[in-house]
Amino acid sequence: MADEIKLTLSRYNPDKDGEYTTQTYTIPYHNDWSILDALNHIKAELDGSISYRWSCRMAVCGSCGMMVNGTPRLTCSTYLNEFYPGEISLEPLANFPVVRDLVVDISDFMAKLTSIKPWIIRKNKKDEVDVSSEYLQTPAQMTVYRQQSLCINCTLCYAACPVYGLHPEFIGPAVIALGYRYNNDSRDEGKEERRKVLANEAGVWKCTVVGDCTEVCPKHVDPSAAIQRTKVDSAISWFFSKLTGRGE
Amino acid sequence: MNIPSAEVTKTYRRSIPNTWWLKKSSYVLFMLRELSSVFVALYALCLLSLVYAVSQGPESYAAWVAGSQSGWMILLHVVMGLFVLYHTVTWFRISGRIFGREGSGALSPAAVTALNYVIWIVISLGVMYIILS
Repeated sequence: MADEIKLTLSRYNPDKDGEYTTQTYTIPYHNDWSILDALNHIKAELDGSISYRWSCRMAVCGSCGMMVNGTPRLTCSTYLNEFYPGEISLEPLANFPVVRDLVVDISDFMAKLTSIKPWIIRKNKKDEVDVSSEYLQTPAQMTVYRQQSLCINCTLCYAACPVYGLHPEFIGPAVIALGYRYNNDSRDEGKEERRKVLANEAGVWKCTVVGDCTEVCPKHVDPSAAIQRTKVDSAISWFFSKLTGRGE
Repeated sequence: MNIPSAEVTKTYRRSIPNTWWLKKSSYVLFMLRELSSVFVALYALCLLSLVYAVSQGPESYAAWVAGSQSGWMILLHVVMGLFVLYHTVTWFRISGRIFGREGSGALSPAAVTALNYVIWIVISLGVMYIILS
């Protein structure tokens, strides 16, 4: 008999019974299969009713994040051989409302992402649409923000963050990391605009430095460091604004 | 023909139990670090009471020392010491990640953390020298 592995999936169908349950599938074990490959096998061969998100299969699109044995992971880059001969449990990403089976509603994250204005802001708005001029940047200037620019919006960090789970108003790790990314881009002039979102109760000061956002990030963005650095920046700005009587 | 309007799907919200922090070792360590703040404050109060006792003269200081030698006080100081040590180590680690940068011309996170330890040891030796001399 060929080797087999068991996967237990969370199931939720709002149109049927609306119950949040689990279902176990036994599938052939292949050493080179990712968990996403296993899900595609279940969908194609065993049960066409399961729902999950995926697209690129190469840890670029950030769609296939799930709780794999309780930890947020991208299923396209997590392999069965990491768990075999043990079993695998798959749940939808924690801290988000479940739409169906393994699919979560990330509209809260999307709204927060927009609020941080994750694009280059220029004081002279003409600059933003003027394609005739170049905004040169040295490799050293790029190094400052490059790590945080690698975020793929997979929201694994939100699923790992207990602060976001307990206080959903928290704008969260990825959004702050992206705010940091643009604030530290030498071409950007939008720091003051982003301060309103970053430097308040629901912004960086909500973070209590659990640090799991950094641990689970598949792109090694280190949102935790970005948040703590933004706290330092926010505190210094506040201090100088009080000293000079401007701003805040 | 009826054109379906944008449907609002009934989503399922999972509740977070009060024991969420027991699920992962990193969460437990986080909670211990948060708890360590209480012992840091307690330690600070102990040190302040010592300074106050010293300011009140030799008898007051002797009474403070005598009071500190009970089994319970020694146990409390061991617990406070361990929590303060843990608090310090986590701070040093995080300061490396805040102020350190990878790349040329900057101190790496590990170097910043190491620098913290060096400064800590140097200051501790200095304080020890002042007290013992």
